[in-house]
Amino acid sequence: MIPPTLKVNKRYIAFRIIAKQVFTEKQVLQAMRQSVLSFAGEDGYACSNFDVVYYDQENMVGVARATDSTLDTIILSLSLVDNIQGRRAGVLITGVSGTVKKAMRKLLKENIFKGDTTQ
Amino acid sequence: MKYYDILVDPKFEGVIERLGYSKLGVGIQVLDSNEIDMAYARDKLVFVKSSNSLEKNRRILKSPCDGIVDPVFPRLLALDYPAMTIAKDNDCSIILTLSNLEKYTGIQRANYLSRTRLLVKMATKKRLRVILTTGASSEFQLRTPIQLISFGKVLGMTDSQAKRAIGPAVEHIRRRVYDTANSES
Repeated sequence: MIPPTLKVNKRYIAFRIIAKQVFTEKQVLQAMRQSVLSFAGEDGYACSNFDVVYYDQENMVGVARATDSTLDTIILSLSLVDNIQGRRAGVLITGVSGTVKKAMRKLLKENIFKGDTTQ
Repeated sequence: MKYYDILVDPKFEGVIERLGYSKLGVGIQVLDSNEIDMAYARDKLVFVKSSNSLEKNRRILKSPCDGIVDPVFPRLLALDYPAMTIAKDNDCSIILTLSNLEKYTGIQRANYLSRTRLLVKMATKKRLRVILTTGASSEFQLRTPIQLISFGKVLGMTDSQAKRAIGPAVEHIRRRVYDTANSES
């Protein structure tokens, strides 16, 4: 049992994957972990408590978790993801919240490239 | 506060509005560092890409351009303190693109980041305008305002400075084109 003063304050990051094909949760998690590890290092990754909490494969949206003190580093690490499993992809961060429920409301499920052949 | 993404491919203008950006409403002209003697369009914002020569960059800053794009390389900071003074006198902005950071990996990226942090520090000291943008040329490089603000904060800006870099700073340089258009009419 951790005392309240030592409790880690978490932030939930709503994201969307831009890609020409569908990726599974495992593939997305692996790519994001690799990016955070290479940008923030092992110590930075450990301090951030990074993980993907929710992922919808059909719409390719999800919610990731980080601590509030390392939030900017994690957001930039996710922004630097340029490929998943060797195929071109990008990560859009659509919102940040203190709870999972509110972060889910910020998910961008609509196709922003309407009329385009990208997605 | 309205946010703008200035250096993005024109075909994504409709898409970036859905990501949270406002319409810029002004044309952009991006020149190479070898083209600074060309005629500048006065009804557009003119930006010049940085070269890796300090002397050339000083010439760019003395020319009537609105900004210099990415004056940082992994092995070189292409602007020094006197060049910042020239930029301040000529009201020239410094544009930093996120797509340039994505080009590098590993130790090159670390070097690039450290030099960019130094550039931002010097620019803040000189009260120079720094503008952040995605520089997206493909749909995979599009980013939301939250990501650009985080980019600014990782470079050493405060929260308000990073928000200003994608909002009021762009509105300030856009005003020159509007004032020119109004004075001519």
